[in-house]
Amino acid sequence: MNDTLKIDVSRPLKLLLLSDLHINFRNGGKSRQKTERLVRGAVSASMPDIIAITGDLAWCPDTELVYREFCELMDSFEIPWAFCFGNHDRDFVKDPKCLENILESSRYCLYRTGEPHAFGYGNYCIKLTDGGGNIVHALYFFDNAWVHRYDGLSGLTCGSISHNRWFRENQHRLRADGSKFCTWVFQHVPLHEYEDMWNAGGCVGAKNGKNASAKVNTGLFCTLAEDSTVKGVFCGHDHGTNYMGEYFGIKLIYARTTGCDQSKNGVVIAPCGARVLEISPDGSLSSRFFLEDGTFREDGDLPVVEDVSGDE
Amino acid sequence: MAGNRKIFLGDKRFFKIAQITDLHLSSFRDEGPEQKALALIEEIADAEKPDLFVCTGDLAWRHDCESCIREFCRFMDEKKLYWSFAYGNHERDYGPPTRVIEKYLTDSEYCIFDRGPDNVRGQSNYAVGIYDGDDRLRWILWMLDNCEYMELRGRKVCSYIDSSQIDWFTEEKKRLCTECGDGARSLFFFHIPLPEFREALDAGAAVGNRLEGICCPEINSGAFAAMLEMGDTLGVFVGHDHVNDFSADWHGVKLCYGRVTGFCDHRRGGYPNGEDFTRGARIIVLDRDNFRRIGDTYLYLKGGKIERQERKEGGKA
Repeated sequence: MNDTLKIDVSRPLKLLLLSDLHINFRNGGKSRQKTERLVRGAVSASMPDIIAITGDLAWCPDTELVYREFCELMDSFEIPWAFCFGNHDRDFVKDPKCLENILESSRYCLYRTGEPHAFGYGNYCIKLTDGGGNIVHALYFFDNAWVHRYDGLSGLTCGSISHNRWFRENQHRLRADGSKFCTWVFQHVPLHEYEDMWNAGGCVGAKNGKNASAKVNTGLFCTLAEDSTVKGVFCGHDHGTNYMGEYFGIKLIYARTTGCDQSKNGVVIAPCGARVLEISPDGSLSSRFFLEDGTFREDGDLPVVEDVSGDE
Repeated sequence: MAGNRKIFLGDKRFFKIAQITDLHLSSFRDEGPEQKALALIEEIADAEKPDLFVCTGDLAWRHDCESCIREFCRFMDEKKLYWSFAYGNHERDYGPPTRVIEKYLTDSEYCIFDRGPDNVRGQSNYAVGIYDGDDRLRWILWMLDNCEYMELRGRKVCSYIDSSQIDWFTEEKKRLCTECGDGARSLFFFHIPLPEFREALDAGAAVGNRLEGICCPEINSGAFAAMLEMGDTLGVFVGHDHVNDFSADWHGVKLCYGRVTGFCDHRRGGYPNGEDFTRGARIIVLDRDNFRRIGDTYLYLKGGKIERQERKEGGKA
């Protein structure tokens, strides 16, 4: 698909956020069926303009099969969808290129191999424009879950300062034509600043244990904060954690875990679901959860739960 | 020494650096803390015979910054002591470092200094290359200017090493490697600790004194990640927090506070003055025959005591 999508700016943009589906064929595919039913239900209940998935789509030896069948499911909705890799997506594949090929052959998938100088697979930007071709929203997808080649960094961080540089350069290009737009960032692993924001108070939603950020902070949040167009960041990775808040004027938002057989420390994460957002051209947003039982729940209704499962 | 930022070891095996920090010179008029600091530098020069002094900021402060730096340059020239310098926050008490100060530093015979590229934030971003007897670049000493405070989204925050500085040292390293062959190792010198100093401390990795809070930027700009991605960083040496002198091995990089060298009676409560916290310097020894790591680092304390900061059973920071 193209890297530019025209949207209707007379109403808020509807974004459906899915994450950590962890699709596998265990238990005769029971959890997979539940997860796919949830995805179908969320799509038909929210009728989004765009769907974003923040990684960990599959976690099983048949990753390629999962990808192929999932792409078919997504294409059946006829809604553009974007994707960034999580850490588990590539546990069972030798070369992520094979997954890229599947994503790129999906008719409605916006995934792109992206910037060659940025570390990982699939660092790309999707531009949402108004009827006149002016950019209204810039959506950035980062691969911050790939393994570093440099031994000294392996296990420390999967992000890279090359992301910061590419982001700055690309933003410079987007701004060149004078358009004013909002910037949103999607990646799998939470930024360290999610934890700082939680500690500062004022977040809404649940926190299930410690945030599993990378061991080393690559400074992406700083880069984003220096860019006044950045309004929000979305991530997954921490199952059962789904809070959101604001830090230095940037909304830091966890997805809601979508996979239906997720557990953390033996505690099953329930209920699983998806986050449905309505985003205005000025960057203000409203958000609610779609749950596996087919109901919606407002963020504000959720009790703030800290460390529900204790230590990791 | 302006323009010449290369040091050649010749047939010497070791290169010894004395990191001095936070001298807080404010006046040279009479017998005072300034004279004590200079006497300590002479003592260190006699006892340790370093090849280079590196001053990690807050050399001078308050309104008389210009004349203090002029006098300090004169002193180092008189004693024939080579030194290099990265600005701290207090040189900015009355505005950014002036061109007059810069001229004293670049005109001084024994001061190795450069303002750095104009498109890089700060007024003391430069590299000093140390070459071995075969003229191979072995170590790069990076001086970075932290500046002081900055605005981020309307909030005043402690200044961090910014993207222009990160881009500069990563690109400059690549350039130097193309020019001089791969293998050179990096050591960073600047004033304000990285957020990783606090992380290392919280993780129990620190050895040495932690007698006050870690005054580091609340926002992490990724400077440490950039140093890791370079793949050759041996150590980071800072000052700023006068009564912290700990060091820590953090993800393969040595994070070190210096030891306060200045004698000023600090306005803040809890700061010891006079002899309560013995002034000194951090000594860093680099070994040509084992250049891929830091040969040795320890603290030299006034009077000649050496503190090695070795981890003891149940040792604390």
